[in-house]
Amino acid sequence: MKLPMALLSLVLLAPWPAMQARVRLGGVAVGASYSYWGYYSPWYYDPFLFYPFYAPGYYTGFAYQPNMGAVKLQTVDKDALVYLDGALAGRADKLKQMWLNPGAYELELRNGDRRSTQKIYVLSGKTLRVTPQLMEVRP
Amino acid sequence: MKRAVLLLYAAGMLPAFGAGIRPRDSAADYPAHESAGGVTVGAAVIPPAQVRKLFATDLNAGGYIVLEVAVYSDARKEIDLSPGDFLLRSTAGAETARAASGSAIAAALQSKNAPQPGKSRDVSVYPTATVGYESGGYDPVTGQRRRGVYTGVGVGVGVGQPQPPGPAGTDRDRTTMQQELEDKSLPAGKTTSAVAGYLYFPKPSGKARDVYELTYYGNTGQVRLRVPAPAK
Repeated sequence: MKLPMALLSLVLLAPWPAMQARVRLGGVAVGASYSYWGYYSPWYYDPFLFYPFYAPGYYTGFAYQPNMGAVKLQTVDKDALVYLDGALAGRADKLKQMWLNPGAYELELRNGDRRSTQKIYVLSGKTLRVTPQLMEVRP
Repeated sequence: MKRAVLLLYAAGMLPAFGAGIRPRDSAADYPAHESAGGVTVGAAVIPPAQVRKLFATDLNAGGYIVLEVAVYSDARKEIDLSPGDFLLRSTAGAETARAASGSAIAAALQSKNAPQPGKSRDVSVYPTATVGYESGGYDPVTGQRRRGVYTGVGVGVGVGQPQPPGPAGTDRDRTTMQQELEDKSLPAGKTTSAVAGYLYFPKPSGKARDVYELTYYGNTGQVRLRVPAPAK
């Protein structure tokens, strides 16, 4: 019985300033982060924003992340559009190197009537060199 | 068209898995070819340099030899194929190896590079820094109202941190390697047309310049052929 009373008296007799509400604002953490989505504005409408029109990584330029594999495109057709699993990845001259998650992808290059389709297998920490040959496709 | 494909699957006329590759025009286009029991088998050893270009999976480092194998059915006879029907023997050595499955190779290669548990003496140090603004409250010592910028530094220490996975060392890599090896392997199942694909064998002991002996034990008979090792 004596102990709870002693504790209560300690609380009641504690100095007044310690009872004041205290607000701590701020705090800075140093580190790095990655954003999956690109710039977004509620006033901007893009009908091709969502998958499967743009490949994941389109907005980040297929930047490096841990546990990813590199794909090096070696093509003379710089104007060809590159598609990954049917979704636009960008233009060949801007995608000399892409970092992708490990997995199998359908890589397609299109330039007018000429196309090249092949399955690629990306492994983490490895570089895959791809040399697509665009062939004319007649309907 | 879809119905026809379904019917073909039901009849077991299409490969059960693995699309394989396009067979060459004839068995004579392979460095080694042999016929028996209405079946012709053509084979070629793929040089390690070409294996590196053809596969994302590092089969050379894993100690595997890759053979391109095609099976041609004479008079459209039905063949029941399985990669397990093929045995490889080096003429220099006595040991015989059966074709390895994609899943077994992928698991073996991934486990080599999988993250290892950290040694107990491994110590990781994480420095931290904090900057903030404080308002309100009283200093219990001076009785003054507290306000202003506060800072802090600290160090976190971890012992026994696991190592990050090496190249192709994650679970997703294992699935991808397995998919690649199965997609390109000799298709399994019943067929009446020519099929081709790669077979992966553990490298037999002996000199690299050996001649390999490939034997196919099929439902129609046995075909044995001597496949020369590729020129360096």
